[in-house]
Amino acid sequence: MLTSTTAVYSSYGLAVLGALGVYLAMPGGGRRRGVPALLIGIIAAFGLMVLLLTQYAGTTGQCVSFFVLATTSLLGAVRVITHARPVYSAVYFVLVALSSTGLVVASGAEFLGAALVIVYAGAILVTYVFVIMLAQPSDSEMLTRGGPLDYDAEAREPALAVVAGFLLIAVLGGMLLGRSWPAAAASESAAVGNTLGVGQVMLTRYAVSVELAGVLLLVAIVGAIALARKIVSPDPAARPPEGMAVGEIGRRVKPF
Amino acid sequence: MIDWLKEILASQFGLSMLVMLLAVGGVMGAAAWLILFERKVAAWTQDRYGPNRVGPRGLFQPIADGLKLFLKEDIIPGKVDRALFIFAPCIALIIGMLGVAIVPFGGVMRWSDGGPLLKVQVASIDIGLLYVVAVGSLGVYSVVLGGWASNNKYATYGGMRAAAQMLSYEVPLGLCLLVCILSTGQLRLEGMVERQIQSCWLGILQPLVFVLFFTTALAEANRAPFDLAECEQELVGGFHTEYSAMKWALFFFGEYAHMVSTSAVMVALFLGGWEPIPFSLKIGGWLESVSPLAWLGAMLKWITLDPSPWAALVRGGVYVGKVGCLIFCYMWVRWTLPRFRFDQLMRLAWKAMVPTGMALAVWAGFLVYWGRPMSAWALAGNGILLLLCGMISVASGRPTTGRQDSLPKVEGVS
Repeated sequence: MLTSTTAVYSSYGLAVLGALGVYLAMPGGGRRRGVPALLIGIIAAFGLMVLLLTQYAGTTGQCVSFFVLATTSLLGAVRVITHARPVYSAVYFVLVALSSTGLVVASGAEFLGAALVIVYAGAILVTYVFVIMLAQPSDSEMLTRGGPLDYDAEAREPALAVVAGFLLIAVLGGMLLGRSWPAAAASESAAVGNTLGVGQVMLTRYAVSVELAGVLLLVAIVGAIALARKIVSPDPAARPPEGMAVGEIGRRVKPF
Repeated sequence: MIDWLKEILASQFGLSMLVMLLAVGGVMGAAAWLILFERKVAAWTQDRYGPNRVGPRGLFQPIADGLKLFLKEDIIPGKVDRALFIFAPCIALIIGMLGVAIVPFGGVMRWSDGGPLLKVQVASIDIGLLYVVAVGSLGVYSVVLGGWASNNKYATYGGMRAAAQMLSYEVPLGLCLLVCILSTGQLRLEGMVERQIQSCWLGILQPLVFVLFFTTALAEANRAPFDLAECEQELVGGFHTEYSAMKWALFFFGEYAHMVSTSAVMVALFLGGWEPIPFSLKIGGWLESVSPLAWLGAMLKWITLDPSPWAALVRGGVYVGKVGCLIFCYMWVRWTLPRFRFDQLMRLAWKAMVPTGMALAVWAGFLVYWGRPMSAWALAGNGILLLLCGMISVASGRPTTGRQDSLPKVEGVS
């Protein structure tokens, strides 16, 4: 068990190391730097694991499951931003969501885990894959050229992105490591049932936030329909005059 | 050896492992013979014999089919995305099988009097139904990734259709599940079944929810009339155009495994799980007072409640029987109804099923507020809603689409 100051500074060091590894792993730059990136990444991840294991004690089973799941999600997360092909990035994102779900479930938050899979892996990422499929319909161009497409082959502003991202990680990680956390009230929540507890809190203490989030989603849906509505008429006479407002167009036809 | 086995089986873990082995083997075997069953149902619907050459009445047809699929050349076309092309059928089968994990096949049992009560299911988890939704929502990846990786425009269209369809039909599915959760006050499937045994099956109290759920389950499994992702007339084979041999068979197995697991969930949600007939406790109690039929009443009660292993086995049989009936319904629908057009499919989901599901969920919420979620009021609400829906659909007339607008007007036809 290190003192909190030492732990925080070593986490900063690991963040710098990780940033270097991710920077090297970014696609582009004209030369392959996979091996040093992998080595630095392994060292940084291993250091992070050791740091976390010394700071937070657990049973052997917890440690093993944490190690496996955290490594998977770290690796997946790095591949999301360093893979040269968007579809693979999206699939790695699914891997990150699933392994994070494993972490969440292992720490007893089953409801959060289910929500993570349903919302992220099941809905948002399907939309990502959908959009990417439309944006990159054909693979054959890539095969004839023998590599990823121009705009995917090179990371734009990798240095700035890595610095910004790892600054955030260092600040958040330092904050988390620098504080001492009270032992979670696991026994209490287990008695009530995790899902029941979450539901009760959401509909009493955070009722307004939940309602606001719902209204926000409703506004988003209405906005999407307003943007997507179009006149579909084969008869030119029935088409709206030029320069008609978007809202006016929508009133004439059914959306489907 | 026997003592050691007994000791393992006496714990919940051991029993769960046993159920898991039976369920995995059962689903895999069932998938093979369900394909034969499907062909027989198709033949029956179309008034012909169906497969009848291999074995008595064609019973060994699945073995011949399996051999054929294993021995066929497994083609990976040259310009596909290899990794995802191989990965996609695997997801189809895995996701299809995962749902069986929380199905409560036989209630609770104990090996001997005084022993611990064990649950006859693979895993009894707190989130229960949410697990079903979570696993089901991942199923779309197999179709989407398979379609994209094939590098074929028909396959890509199939994958895109499937993605849009599954995302749309998850909304009414969630609303139906919400009604079930509100009515029973439970997320655990076995708790829902017990609640239904105490009062009444949800399929009787909320028939409209059952119909909605069955329809969304058809759509989620990509079964006719919702099989636009593999629409032969328009898309050759849809998302599996480029697949052959065993990889194609994995998609096929995945579809049947998905049917089995959604049917099993439906049995727990709406058809009282392992209870042989609705109200079996009340009917059993009444029959026991009628002297010549007392044995029947006692048997009903024994099947529904008794914790002995034999009763659990009978309960499992009842459960599997109900699953089989629902699967027959899937096939019956497939060979009876023609396929939807894509705009009809979307209109059905967003303009019919989502509003109906919302109305049902609101009604279930009111019933919970009044403290009688499992009463005849639920049935009354369903009836009134059905009447309202009918009136609205009659009043609004047939919907016209862009294509119908462009057709020349015919005299006397509105």
